[in-house]
Amino acid sequence: MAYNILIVDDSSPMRMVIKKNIKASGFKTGEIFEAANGMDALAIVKKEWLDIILTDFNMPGMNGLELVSEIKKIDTAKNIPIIMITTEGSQKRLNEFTAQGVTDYIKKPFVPRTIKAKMNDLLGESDYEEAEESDEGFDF
Amino acid sequence: MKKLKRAMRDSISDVFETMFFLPMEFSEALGIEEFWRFEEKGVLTCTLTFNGPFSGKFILFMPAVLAISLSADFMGIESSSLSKDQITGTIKEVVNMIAGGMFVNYDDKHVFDLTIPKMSTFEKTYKDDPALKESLFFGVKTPNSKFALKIEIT
Repeated sequence: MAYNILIVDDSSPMRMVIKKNIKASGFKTGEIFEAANGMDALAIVKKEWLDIILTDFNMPGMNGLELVSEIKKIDTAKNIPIIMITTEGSQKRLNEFTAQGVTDYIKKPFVPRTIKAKMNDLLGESDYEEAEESDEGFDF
Repeated sequence: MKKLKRAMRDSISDVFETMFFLPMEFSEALGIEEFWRFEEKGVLTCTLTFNGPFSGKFILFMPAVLAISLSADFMGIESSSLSKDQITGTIKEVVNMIAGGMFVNYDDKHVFDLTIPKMSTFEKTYKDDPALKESLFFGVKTPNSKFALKIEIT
């Protein structure tokens, strides 16, 4: 099965790094969509079939938590697993993530295997052999 | 201030070692003038403000040459292919990660709200804010360059 993934981050370098990590993780990816803000992300969520969403928290306009709140209002999207990628890690903030329906979170800075592990937890499928090869060759 | 200083040092080390594999060491310099006879030309500055149990501003000073090198390593592309937005985007991400990490290290019971990092100019950030109560300076040496960070508590 190939997974459709949405990456939401206002930082184009971070979107590129996350995308490279996902490709190196060994998951069979279908379309990898990118959005630089919450509004663009919502447009993609409403239009495309997605298997998982990775979103930054600290973004201009609509932050990651507000985006999650909007996604949860969409019947066809409310059950999509969402990973929050964040620099923030206070317990209060993490509780907010959980309460809002965030499935899991990744703390920045992260190493490539963190994304692989989280994706594997949520999607339950990974070609580990390919992933190991990819990790070795991934200059990160 | 000692706890904050430790939290900041740990966060800087974590970000540069985890995301950039960049060996670095801290300078004992107490301020920008002592650490770096700044040539304003070619120095990128980025700021981020924070609000929580106390408030203030982070300021990163980084030579453009180092910023380009970091961005190329971060994104895994040739430095000649980088756009200006990709370079400033990487620098903003660095400031965001360091600030977020510092507050987790310092006090993970309270929330500090961080603004979106903004590129600034050396002239606007070099001198201390008149409203500041305290400031912390961190000079960091890398194998071929150096950069600096300042926290202003207002």
